[in-house]
Amino acid sequence: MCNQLEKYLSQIEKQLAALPIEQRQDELREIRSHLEMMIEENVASGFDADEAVAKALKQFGAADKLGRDLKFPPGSNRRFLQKYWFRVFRFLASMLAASLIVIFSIRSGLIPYFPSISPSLNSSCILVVTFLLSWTIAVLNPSRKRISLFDLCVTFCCTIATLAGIFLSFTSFPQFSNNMTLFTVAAMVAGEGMRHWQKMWQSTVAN
Amino acid sequence: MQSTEKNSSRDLAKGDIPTLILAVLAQGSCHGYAIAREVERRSGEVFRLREGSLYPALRALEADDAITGEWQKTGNAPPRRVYSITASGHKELAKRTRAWKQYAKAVNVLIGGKPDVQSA
Repeated sequence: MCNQLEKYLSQIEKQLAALPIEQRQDELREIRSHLEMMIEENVASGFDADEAVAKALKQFGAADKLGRDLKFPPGSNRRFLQKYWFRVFRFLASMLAASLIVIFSIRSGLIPYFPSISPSLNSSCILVVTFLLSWTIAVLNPSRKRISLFDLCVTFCCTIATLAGIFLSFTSFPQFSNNMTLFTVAAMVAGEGMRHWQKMWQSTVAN
Repeated sequence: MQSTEKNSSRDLAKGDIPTLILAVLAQGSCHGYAIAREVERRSGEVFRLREGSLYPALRALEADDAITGEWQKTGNAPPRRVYSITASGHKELAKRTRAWKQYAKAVNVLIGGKPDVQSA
């Protein structure tokens, strides 16, 4: 009787391995408690111990499926998107906008670009400029809990600029398109880092 | 034919389970086992709430802040997780109830029943 129950619970536990240990133990404790009540009820209805356990486990359903459903309850994707869509969208838009500005800066000669002389010098210049641009975007567009009109305007402008930039960089300036990956990574790291620093600074000032 | 209808119990559709959980919790806090039995009892044993669907639905409602769960110990019984409906859960229940009544009314009209049976 115990073997069946323990085996069932360990199957669920395997599926819940990704959850924090406290949450996982809570889930298992609750399911065990529920199963024990069902088994008691089945025994009281006249089933022998093994039958009572088997009936209870059958009613609970497949352990693997239950584990998966507990890990990702219905609506998990919707909740994730509702919570983070704007942050993800704004982040992508700002880092691509930074990349675009760098591309145009190189093209117009504001950033030194000497492909035949020193690739590391070129990369350093690009990283510094991208970092500064990302910082500017982070300061102008701080993370907010509520979406303001300012947030929407910045995101809209960044998106338009990004789309235009992607189009132009691959049609008019194909020689720079190899640097897109570098710009993107640099902007990602710099932008996120600056947002955290800015939050810390704001909380320090507030306190 | 009649006896088959009388004895039949049906598994609930997944989408209806949160509504029934909220309806049970609106009457008072209870733990998972009690929720499952209450759904069956109130439906006159017509609905069978599979526990494998109950707990994921409870987690989803908790994530939506419609219910809260808290471990409680009563007497000598082992601790149980007791769920309560929140203010947002009451609003969600009202919304789901309206939607369900509209749906039931439409089905009722289609199958030839009285259109106003749910609003009575």
